Amino acid sequence: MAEKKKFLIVGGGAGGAILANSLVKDFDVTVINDSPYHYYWPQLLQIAFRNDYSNLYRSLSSLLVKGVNLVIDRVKKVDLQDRIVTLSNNKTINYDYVAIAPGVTIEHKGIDGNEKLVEQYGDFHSTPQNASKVFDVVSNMKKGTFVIAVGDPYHRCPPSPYEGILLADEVFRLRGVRNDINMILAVPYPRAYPAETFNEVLEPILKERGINVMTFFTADKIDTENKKITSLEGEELSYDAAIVVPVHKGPKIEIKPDDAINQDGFINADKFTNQILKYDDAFAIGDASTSANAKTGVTAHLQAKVVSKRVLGLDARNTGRTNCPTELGFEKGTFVISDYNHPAAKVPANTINFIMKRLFADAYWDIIRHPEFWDPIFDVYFENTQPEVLWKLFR
Amino acid sequence: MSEAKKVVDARGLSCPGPITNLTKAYRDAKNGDVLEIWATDPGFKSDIKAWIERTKNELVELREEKDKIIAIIKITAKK
Repeated sequence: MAEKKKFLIVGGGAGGAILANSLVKDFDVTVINDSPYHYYWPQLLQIAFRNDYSNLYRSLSSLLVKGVNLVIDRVKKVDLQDRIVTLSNNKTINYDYVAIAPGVTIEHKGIDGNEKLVEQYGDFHSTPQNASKVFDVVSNMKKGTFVIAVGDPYHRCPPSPYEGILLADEVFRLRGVRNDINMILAVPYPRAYPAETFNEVLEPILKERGINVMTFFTADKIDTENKKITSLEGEELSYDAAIVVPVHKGPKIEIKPDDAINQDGFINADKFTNQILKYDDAFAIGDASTSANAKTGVTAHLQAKVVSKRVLGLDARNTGRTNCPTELGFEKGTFVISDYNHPAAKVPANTINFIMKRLFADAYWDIIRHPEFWDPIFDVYFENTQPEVLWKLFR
Repeated sequence: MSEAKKVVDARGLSCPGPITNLTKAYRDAKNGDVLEIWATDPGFKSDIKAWIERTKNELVELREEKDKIIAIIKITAKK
């Protein structure tokens, strides 16, 4: 039997781990991750508003199928021309194929004053420690103005600011302090939710819950002394407690040639095939890649499946499918489901969708570890919930 | 400081892709700069007008070509 080709995967998050487990039969697979742990990032919202740490992380080795090699180290450089990956200790590894999937870098300093603000009130896009600060704030605030503002429209999990404000509303209501707290959601978009169709689902809910929405407000500077946020568009917003969704940048990895990355460090990859430039042996998947139309786990998952098929010679292509479970508080939920050809469907808010989100979170680890079991289930699910189908159901 | 003209190509992005791309370019722009945005999303025309009204920058031209909508904006209101 011919020797298996070497497939290196940089990053062991949702995309990297699913890809590794899908390839191990046919390739000599090595995953390089900078931490021994795999984080389920949506849990940051559950920490911030429910103090629930249950699904935050697992050891990465427990999620990888037997036969996948795991290296815990930081990747310094990927040279696509010479097919060499350099680790932090300057050790080099060569490959036949590479997939780069290390996720984003959160840069609080990208918005003037946000480093100070996050120290005070936390956030739910960076670390569990910062998410726990949010829980302290929403558990203790008694009156005043509570703000969630978006500083970077290209953040992880598009629905997260909406989930954040609605879950904060739930906490305030359950504590009996909601009437004394003015809640504001400030967004860069022309309307509450960027996608006009999904906005028709979300805006009435925000209104019903008494949340004030400021549109065309991109948080740009924060004056923590005087508790004011100034927007790029030139307006001001006062707060008593505020969370500003931080700037997201690409991974801190040197990638050669230089034109493989854009000005924010994201890796330029084809949105249908995940291929990087002209290199048919190199792919970028998930949040780190420009091919992701939404920075979500489902995108990384589906892209991993596409890459795993392409390297076996199949003409698999991304459809741009999103499937973002969106929690609305008080045991209601919806999904943001769209693809390259269809805007987000108007999936109604109900309890079943909330339960689906919870079940998914509990099944997440098994989904990563056992693609052979879950792939057929997801194939059926994705086929029957195509935006095209949902558009006929929910008008 | 020299004034720059920059093209923001947001073709193929659906609503509000063009506005988020504009926002990104606006962050780096300075007064006097000209931004030319290309979009294919039909909602872009009303969104760009609303953006101009809110930010008080100058809409130099908004026109439709065969394959795209072009908005030319002069940055005048940046603080």
